[in-house]
Amino acid sequence: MQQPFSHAFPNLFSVTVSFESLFADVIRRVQDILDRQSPPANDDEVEVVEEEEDDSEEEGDLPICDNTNYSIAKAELDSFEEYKRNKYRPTFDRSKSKVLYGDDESGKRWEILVGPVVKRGANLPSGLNLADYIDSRSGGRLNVTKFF
Amino acid sequence: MLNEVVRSNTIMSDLSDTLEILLSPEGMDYSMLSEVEKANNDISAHSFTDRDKKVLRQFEGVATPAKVFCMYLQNNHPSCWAYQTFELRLTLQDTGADTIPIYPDISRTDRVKDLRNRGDKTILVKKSGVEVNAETAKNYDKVKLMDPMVETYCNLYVEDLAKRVGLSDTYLSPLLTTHVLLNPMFGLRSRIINTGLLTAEQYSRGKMSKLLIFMYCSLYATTFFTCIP
Repeated sequence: MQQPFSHAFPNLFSVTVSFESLFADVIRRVQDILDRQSPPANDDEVEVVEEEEDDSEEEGDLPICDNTNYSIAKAELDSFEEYKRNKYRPTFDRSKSKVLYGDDESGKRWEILVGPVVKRGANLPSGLNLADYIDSRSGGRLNVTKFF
Repeated sequence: MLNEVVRSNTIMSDLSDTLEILLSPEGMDYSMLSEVEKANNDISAHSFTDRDKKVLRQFEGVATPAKVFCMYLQNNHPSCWAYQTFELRLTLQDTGADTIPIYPDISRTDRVKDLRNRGDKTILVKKSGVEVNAETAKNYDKVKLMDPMVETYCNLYVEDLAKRVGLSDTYLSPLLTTHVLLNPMFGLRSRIINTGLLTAEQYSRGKMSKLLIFMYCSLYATTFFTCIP
């Protein structure tokens, strides 16, 4: 169960076979490391699930843990997804924008625009606005580095 | 190369007229022609044929997305790296489009004073078998059929670029997916998938990578969780 962190990323991004199983294993190992660094305050919150028999030989005795660190990461990810909603995103000048478009199965047109901002979206819960991170000098692209 | 094509398109007809004068029996370059060319009065090897002119004008239109993509790749602005997949898909979309607008030939026109300012793209070029509706056609002066040579270029470019980058693969490199999922301007899953930025499979696998990145950051910089605005 206690393995060096480097073992968790053996050529991670070049592996194409058994991708899901590799990721599940890596996430589980990261969980273990996070648990060691910041153990859950209450042991009762840790739910240990017995592994299926098929995986037992390959995975050893590693338990699948639902721990607080994983929950924090997932909650952070979910809250980040909220910031992608239409109301937060600014409106672009369509005539001067690059447009990537496509239709869904019902025929509805979906678009992603990159260009000059003509109308700001709603403020994020922190009071900041996505439009503030868009750099007009680069053709209306959002500076992701600055955003984070 | 595209810049050379643009320059030749700008002065194409004027250049052809000048070449014809220079290579005529009275011209100062007549001696450059071979005996066969002189006998047949054929200077097509030294000047633009009508098809050459057509292909060059159409090529300028269909190759422009590729040029824009090359310029994007050379742009080192900090906000550019996160748009790599978007620019790739946009280049494929524009090059593979059924219709492409091009500039008209404005040389040989007396009223044009600046050949570099060609105005709007008023000619629409369509691929073979494509129907252009009247509403679209009325926005252009002419609708012309794409030359087979140009159409072949479009198909080859789209196929080759997509294959080289592996955009059709089920598993897309995190270098092409992570920034898509970290950029709120691309919207939620439905927008990303329906615009073709990522396939459903590429999205779900990219999201697994992102979750791992979030956990990785929590391991080495716990403040990451509070740095999102």
